[in-house]
Amino acid sequence: MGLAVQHVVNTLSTASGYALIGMSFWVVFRIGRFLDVCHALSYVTAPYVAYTMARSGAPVWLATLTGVSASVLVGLGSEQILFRHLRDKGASSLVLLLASFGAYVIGENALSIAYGDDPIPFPGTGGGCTMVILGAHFTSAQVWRLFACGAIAAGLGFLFSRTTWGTKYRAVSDNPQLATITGISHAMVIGQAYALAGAVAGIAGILAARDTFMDSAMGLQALLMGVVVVVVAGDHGIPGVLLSAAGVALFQFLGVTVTSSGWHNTTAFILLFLFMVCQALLKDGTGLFRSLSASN
Amino acid sequence: MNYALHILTLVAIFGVLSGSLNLVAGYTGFVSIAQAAVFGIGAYASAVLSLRLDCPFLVSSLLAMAGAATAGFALALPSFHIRGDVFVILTFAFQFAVAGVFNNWVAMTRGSVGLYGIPPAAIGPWVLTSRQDYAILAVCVLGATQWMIWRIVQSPFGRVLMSIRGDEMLT
Repeated sequence: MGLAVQHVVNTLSTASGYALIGMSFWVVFRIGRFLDVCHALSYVTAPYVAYTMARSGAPVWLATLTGVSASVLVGLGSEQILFRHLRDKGASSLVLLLASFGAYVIGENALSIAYGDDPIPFPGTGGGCTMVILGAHFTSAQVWRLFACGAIAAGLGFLFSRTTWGTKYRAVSDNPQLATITGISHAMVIGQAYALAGAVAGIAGILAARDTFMDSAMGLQALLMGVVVVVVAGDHGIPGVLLSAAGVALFQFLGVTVTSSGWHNTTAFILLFLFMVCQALLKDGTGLFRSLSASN
Repeated sequence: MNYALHILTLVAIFGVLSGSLNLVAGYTGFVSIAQAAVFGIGAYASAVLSLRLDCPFLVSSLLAMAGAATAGFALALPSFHIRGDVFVILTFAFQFAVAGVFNNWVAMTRGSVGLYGIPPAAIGPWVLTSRQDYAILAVCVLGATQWMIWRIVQSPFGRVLMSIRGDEMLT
């Protein structure tokens, strides 16, 4: 009984991590309409900045806040300095993808030079057991991640469906030209979306670093899972991302159960590949991907 | 000198890979991240056939090419329905799935340790033992593949590929 509950807890914790990066990637992917690899930098910047602050004696809350602010700046900066100008010059989504990949490689290598390639434990934390329920052990990092996932999902759900900004975001995502004609500054909305996604990615990165450790390549690893989650979620918004994250984590758990832990990430990519092939062959693309195909 | 020959061999090998990517992405307009996976399938198939079944170099190479071509064809099937970013994501999923299989199927690929002790290549009486031999073979293969690609591009089939890049619907 205790082992089964522990598996459920671990799967839920994994799913909440995927959901966090999935939600942040969804925000930029829906409005940017390209595979923004540079988004991984927002994820990895926050824990490193927070680590630097904490090492210099700042309290954890201040270090976390500074880390998340740095991620916001990375997200906003990538849009304002790089993507906006390329978009204005009519660059295709493939050009944007390659540019984002180049920016990511520069950022990751800068971190690698500054902090080295070895995994670094986040200061002042650990996977200490905080509570035991039905024989399952909950660590503080797992509890924080589940809480953050629920709170951010609720916040984003409210923001996109109940606020004026959410309406503007959906308008720009669905039809930028029409949104501009109706007086919406699509450049400003895209910038704000990148800042928001940067904040969510930064929180996800810090929580992941608290749970295990951090290294300069963690951003890309996490983003890849975020891509899997968003693709599987299709055009079903934040609830779709949450369900997709749970499904991917469950599929991975089942895959690891019949194979070994080394197959953890591979099972997710096999799922993504099969899912996309089936979707392409059976339905000719649905939702978000049908509209993406049409725009290309 | 050995180092220079090693670099020359690598340049020739990656020149062959670049040529194949140019055919798919450059002439046809399908940006594929999975070309590295197809490259790996060919490499592993050839090495496994040589190591485990004692296949001669030419036979293992031909079978490996057939395996890689089959993988490429299977990957191309969904491209009838999807294009652009979605196809890039599909190839990206294929790339990471195949890389994961290479790393985790230890019984077949020896995982991250890799395959070693592969018998030296032999073409008839010519047994390739030195770096110079491998450099000569690699440069010859590079020349042959570039010539084949050039012939394909000049042929009616090549013009079809380029018209797909221009307007698939019209093609």
